[in-house]
Amino acid sequence: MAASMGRGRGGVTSFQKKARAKTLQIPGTRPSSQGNQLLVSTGVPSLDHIIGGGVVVGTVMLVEEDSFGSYARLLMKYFMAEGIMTHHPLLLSSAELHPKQLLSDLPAPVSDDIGKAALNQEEVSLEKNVQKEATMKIAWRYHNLRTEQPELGAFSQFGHYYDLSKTMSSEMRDTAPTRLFYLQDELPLEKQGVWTSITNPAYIKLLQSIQDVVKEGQFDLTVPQPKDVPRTVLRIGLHSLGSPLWGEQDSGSSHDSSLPHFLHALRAVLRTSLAACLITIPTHLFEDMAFTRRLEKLCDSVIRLESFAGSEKEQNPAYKDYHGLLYIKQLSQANCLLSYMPDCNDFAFKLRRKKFAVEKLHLPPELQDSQQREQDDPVAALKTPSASCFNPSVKSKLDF
Amino acid sequence: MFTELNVILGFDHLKPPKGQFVLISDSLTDGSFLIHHFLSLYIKGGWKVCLLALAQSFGHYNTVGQKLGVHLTQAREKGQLKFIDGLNHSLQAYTCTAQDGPDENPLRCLRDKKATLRPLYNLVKTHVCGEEGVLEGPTLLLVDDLSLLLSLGVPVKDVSDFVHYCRVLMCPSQQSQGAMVSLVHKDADVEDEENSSLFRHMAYHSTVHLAVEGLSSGYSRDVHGQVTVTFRNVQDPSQPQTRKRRLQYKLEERNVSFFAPGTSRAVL
Repeated sequence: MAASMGRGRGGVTSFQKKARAKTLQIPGTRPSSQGNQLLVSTGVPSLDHIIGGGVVVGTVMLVEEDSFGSYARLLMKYFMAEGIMTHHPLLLSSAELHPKQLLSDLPAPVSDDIGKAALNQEEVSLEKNVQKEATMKIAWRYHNLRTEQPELGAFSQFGHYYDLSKTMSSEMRDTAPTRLFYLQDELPLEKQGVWTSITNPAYIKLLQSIQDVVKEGQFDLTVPQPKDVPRTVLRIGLHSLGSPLWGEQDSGSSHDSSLPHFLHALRAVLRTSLAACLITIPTHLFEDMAFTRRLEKLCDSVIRLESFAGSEKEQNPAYKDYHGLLYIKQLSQANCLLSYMPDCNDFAFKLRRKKFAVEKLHLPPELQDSQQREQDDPVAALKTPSASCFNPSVKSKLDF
Repeated sequence: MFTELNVILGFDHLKPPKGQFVLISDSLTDGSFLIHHFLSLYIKGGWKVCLLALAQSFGHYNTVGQKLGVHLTQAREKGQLKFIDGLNHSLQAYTCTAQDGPDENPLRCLRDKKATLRPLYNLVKTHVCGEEGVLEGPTLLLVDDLSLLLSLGVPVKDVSDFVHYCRVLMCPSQQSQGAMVSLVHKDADVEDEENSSLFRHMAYHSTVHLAVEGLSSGYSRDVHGQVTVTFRNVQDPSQPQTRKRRLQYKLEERNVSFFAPGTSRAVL
């Protein structure tokens, strides 16, 4: 009975404490617009903007991987790099490549001088454009606006800018305490009797190590902390969970409850800790959509990446500026009545030489005067029927 | 507590109705705002509430409850609210080792295939009943949510047995003292046989069914979805068996506004 009543007076969850201690200032986080929750940046400012400011501390963000996993790996690297820049301790787990390999290839931050110089250059070129178009007579209201597609939320302050062409130096990397969990090092997993026949022991081991880090690093909010100890947020990155190397049998049928149980227990740990978690799962490997849906319901925020590499969409002229689509499937509803509602749900990402950015999907304008054949029309080819609430915009000739 | 919804449901906010088995189902969207509605409605109505929370922590319900005007920590201290922390039990079931003593965990079926949900039912019964084993005074059992039990690996048969036992305990007839509210996920675009068979069992027994879904025309910022309310009339065979009402809703910071389809403030 006592256990079921919760932890009683001492059992304070993370969000209650923040309500009382209004000055819980942790570097690298900012309060969310909905209520008193903390957000941490994903490392990509445009992605932060569309998911409502960042990843909510105490929740799990799921990234459903693209077919080759490269962009999901990139997002994980950004998340870890952002943690190093803000001095958040990291916990990284992976099964296929050693976490050290992931960490050795983080994007280098753009230093302030270079960042400001770039901004200055942009302003100078903008002024030149303005001078050239100062004689706009008809559309004169618009000549002060930028001529190119602006990135979403490019001027937020708690995210950092990174340069993908350079790697973060090892000195900078070593400043942040990191814990690594490499599945191959943990083998052979100790037998736990009857329990292992029901559930995957690899996930149990992973959860135990997460719990250990939370306890040792004093991220647990149920344990009262002395006032002078500065608090910080733990960033947990679980790369490519649920891949065949983790022991997922039957390509993830809905009868195997190991991964859902792991996610449920992870939620229990995170709700009372100062930690934010980013998980990437290759859901395209699962045959059963119902299993994927169950995993999504157990995570708080879910986005899905779909890259054009190797698919017929690569040749589609409508998508020529982008490398893939990004779908927001769910946003965190922890401690609020409603989640952040974006304006639209058509986002695409592109990977330029130096950075990865997410933008609203804009189809190119139709410049031909003559009526094209239906087969040649790239816009019509984008019709994808879907019954979901987040419906990509269906373009038909009747729309205006 | 959303007053417009109370009017539509015919629930009096001063005297919430007894003997109701309310089923909330959601498809491709999140229907948990209705859980908060019923929680605040029955707490404000002075009922004893037993909240079996599998999906979220106590802090979540407390924070949202404060926005809706109920103080859950106070209710818990006074004894009006009994909170069963499903997240914690599941975590303990996950991380316990074979060396630990005899298992007191109500969710031990998650690690022991031979156990059913009976320990969980016994726990609910101890919270809800007095010494004689019957309900003392109006009591509500709120389950959030049942599909999670399926995701965690509990067989459909065990979950529907559990629901049946709880229903017989709380609201076997319209005149009984208790009521029960539960949430099931029923996504229209995936074929989840376990969820749909559980949903059908529950819909058969329910007196009021609220189906939450997104708009068929797609995502909109001003109208977040629609709720279809189905009343099942089990008493009077001469009257039509089911009555349906359809409403659209918009979630806001502290409230959810319900309106007839097409009359959203953004449209008019």
